[in-house]
Amino acid sequence: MLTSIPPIPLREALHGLGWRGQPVEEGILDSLQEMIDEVRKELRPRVIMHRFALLSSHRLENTVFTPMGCDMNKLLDNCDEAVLMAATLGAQSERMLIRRQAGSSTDALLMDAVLSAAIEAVCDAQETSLRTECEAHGLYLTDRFSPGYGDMPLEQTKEICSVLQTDKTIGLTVSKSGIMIPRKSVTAVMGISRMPQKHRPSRCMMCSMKETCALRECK
Amino acid sequence: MKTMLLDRGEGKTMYTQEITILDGAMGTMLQQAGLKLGDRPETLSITAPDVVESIQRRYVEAGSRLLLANTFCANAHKLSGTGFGVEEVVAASIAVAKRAAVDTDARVALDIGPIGELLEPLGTLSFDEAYNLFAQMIRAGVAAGADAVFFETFSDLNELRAGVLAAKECSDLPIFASMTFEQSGRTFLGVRADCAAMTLSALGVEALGVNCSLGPKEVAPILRMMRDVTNLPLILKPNAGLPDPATGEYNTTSEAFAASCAELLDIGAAYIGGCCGTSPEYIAALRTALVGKRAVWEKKRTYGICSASELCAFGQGVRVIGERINPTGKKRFQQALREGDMNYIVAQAIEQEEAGAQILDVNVGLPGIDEAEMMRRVVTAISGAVSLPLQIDSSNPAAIEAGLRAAPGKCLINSVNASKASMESVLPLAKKYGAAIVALTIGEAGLPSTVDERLELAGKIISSAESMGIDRRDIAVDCLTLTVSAQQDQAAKTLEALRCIRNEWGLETVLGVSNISFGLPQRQIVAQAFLTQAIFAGLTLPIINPNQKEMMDTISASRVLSGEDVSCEAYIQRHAQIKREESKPGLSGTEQMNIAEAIAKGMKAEAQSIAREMLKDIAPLDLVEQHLIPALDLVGARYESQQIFLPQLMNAANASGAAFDEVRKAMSSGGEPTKGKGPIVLATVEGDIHDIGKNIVRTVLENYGFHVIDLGRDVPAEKVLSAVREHQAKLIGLSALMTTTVPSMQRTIELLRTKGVNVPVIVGGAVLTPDYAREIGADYYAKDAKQSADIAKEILG
Repeated sequence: MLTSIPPIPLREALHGLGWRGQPVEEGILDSLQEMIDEVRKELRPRVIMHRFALLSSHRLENTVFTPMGCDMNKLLDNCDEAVLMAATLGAQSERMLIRRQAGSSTDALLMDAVLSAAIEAVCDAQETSLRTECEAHGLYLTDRFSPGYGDMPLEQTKEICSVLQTDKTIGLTVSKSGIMIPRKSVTAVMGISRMPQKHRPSRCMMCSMKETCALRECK
Repeated sequence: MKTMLLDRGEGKTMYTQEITILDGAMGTMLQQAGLKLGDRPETLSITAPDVVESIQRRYVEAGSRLLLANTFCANAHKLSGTGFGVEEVVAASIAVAKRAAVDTDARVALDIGPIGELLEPLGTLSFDEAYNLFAQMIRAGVAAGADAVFFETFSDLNELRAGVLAAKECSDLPIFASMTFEQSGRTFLGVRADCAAMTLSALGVEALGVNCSLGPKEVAPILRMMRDVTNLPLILKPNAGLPDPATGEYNTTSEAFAASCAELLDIGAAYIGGCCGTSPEYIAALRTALVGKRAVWEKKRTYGICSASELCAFGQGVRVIGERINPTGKKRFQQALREGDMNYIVAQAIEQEEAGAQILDVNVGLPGIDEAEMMRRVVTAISGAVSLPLQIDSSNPAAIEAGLRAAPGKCLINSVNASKASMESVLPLAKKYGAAIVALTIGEAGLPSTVDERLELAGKIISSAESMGIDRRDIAVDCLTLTVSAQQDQAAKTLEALRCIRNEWGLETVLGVSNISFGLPQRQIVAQAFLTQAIFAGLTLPIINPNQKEMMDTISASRVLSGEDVSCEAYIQRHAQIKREESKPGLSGTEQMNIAEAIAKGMKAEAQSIAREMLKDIAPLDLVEQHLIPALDLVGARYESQQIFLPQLMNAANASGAAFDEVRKAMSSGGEPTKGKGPIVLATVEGDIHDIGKNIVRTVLENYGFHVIDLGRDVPAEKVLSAVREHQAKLIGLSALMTTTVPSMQRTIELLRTKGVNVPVIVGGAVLTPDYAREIGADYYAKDAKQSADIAKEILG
């Protein structure tokens, strides 16, 4: 498992801020780079991943969890196993945001974007290493799919956390209103198949926010 | 089990106690018996009691003498949706464990784990909600005949504190408190093992320690951190080593496990069992390894106070108490308290921490506000951002209690004096919450005037505190700073009394240093000299403004002279840093820049200084109408046409805000600061903690000249309603990011309307659309901060 945050591309953080390639003052770029350095130095990501045999009902063996939705059914078609993953940047990332917020809301906005890019980088790295491992065994990993993508209900976040006991294993909790705390956290499902998998063109097209998301143009 | 004192000769006092063997894992045992992941193991006590009982009987047969009932997650939050209630699950689980222990001397504890939701300020669960969830379990446990309450696997010290307080207030049972740490000696939430031990010890638990986490070898250094700050016996309930990442199998055999545990008897591990990966075999191995042995340990070495993640040890030099969280004489701070602006207060806390404060004094007394509720809110907010221990400063016992309840750690109370009323109301609070106290040398007859009177008053408080079981090393004496311009003979007497208390009684000493110079010109000089003399006389806890460089210079130099700053390292570092800051380039070339450019480029300091210059020649309102608003409009247009992006818009808004500050100063010219148009009440709705967007809207609105009252995040509908009424708001802005929290936004609007409040409501948030906004009863939808400002202009002019 990862013990540090992989490199965070500045561009990813800028994209998260709605950047469309406009000229950017050095001040903003410097602040972002400083924050990226701080985040990589101060935070330790925590990840838990568990592989389960997939029953024909798509329930994961030895659990009470069945991933829901048509998109999910398509994803897990032809899969023999499913992987549950949860990752978080930890409580310290919440404190970083709260401290920035008390000072300047611009800094809080920049830090929020950096942290989002950071957790994404963590998940990508984890997915890549799992993909490599699968391929070494002649297996194929599907795309990574999170509750709230497509028609997979957001409420399933809580179920994934319960199966992985994330409160105990990585310090990730889900609030009454279904929000993951620490906020900079991800839960996801991936399928493992003996057949090659088609990968989606971009996450955006599968997203339920595609109508309103300011980033929808990014391909 | 009874702890005994041992006299080992040479004045070395030690403690000893018999070993109590606990049980091993339950969850992993149940999974082996067929429990599915994601299911609640606790309900098996009702649906498959025989399975649970047989596991527990095997533990009793292996040697467990304190069984933890199958109640780990039997709280109302985790049981919701299972169809079972807390009382029935607890009753069934205790009954099962008692059956397993029948005809033996094994006892049964109510086992309590974390609720599974994070508490405020990082999460949304309030301390009182957590308390109530625990209290419900504990009452059920008492009714079912539990012999003890055992908290385990906690990573949030404040959540555990809520549980321990609930156990103290709802039962007479012995309380065991154990947390889970990473190898760093910190929990997931950053709680330090020594801070946890100091806090729990002060709260008066039976034993405290570590469970789960790691194997016994890795847990050893964590237990040693705890040993240093408590006299209590320790709990040791580790995993069976570390799990293999591939298979999940634990790597330590039962014999090796037991041998490693036995090595920790001499640091006072007296309650020993196993967690994940252990089985009855491990407990049997423990029994074999521990037979006939006792735990023995030395007295603690470290006293002091702490937060959840920072410990401030007494007796190891000068520790600065920052005095800035206090509304006395500060208009802006008073306004923040009245408007509930926690961001402002938290910023004051961060500033002091960065300036070198090691403890923060928190005083929120202001006529017309509910001091206890405000103390709770402020302490909670500060603890989310700053890790320093707190000094709860109030003369109102209800406010002191609210602060002590909310603070995650062991606090200092400022203060208790020698009057009967003060001692009777404050000392019991110190005892109950395990706080240290400042003993202020004022008595029934008022202020002392001699050294002896001061010592007598201090002695009176100390003996009263000791008679209640408060350790004298948890008392810091304040010999009272009187104003030297009014009572010139008193400064020397204060210092003489202080010298005696520090050198002869060996206690910590506190002084509010700046009081000395009231009424004198160049107060700083006198305060600085007094601080120097007081430190020399033995002052250890000066209450000062750490943002005053000269005061911190004095502290830093005195640490060099006393030898506390070994090799002068901190002193040298401090001055290297100051030199770097001084050499940073200042303002230049602002004369050539006009205000529109400064705003467009987001140059805050420049915009402010140009505005100040311009105000010498033009009227404040003209500056606003002819320069600031057009500059902002231009920036807004560039944002809408995507020539600039959000951070640039924000920086421009901040720069214009700095110029607006100059306008307000000019308009008020020394009187009350003028407020902008509005007010506009903003809130992120209940259940949602995403406040970045709301805060952007706030920044932009304020910098367009509107008066904003920001209620924060996770704000209940009722609070929005009462704030709108109280401040007579002209516009309301509500924010929600998640599909799951938009219904909460709808409820807020419905409440406003049914209560006859017809103030227009703007809503915003990632998942909202204009249609959706109409559907939930909003008057306006704003897609971003710029549009919010446009709507506000349209409504408020």
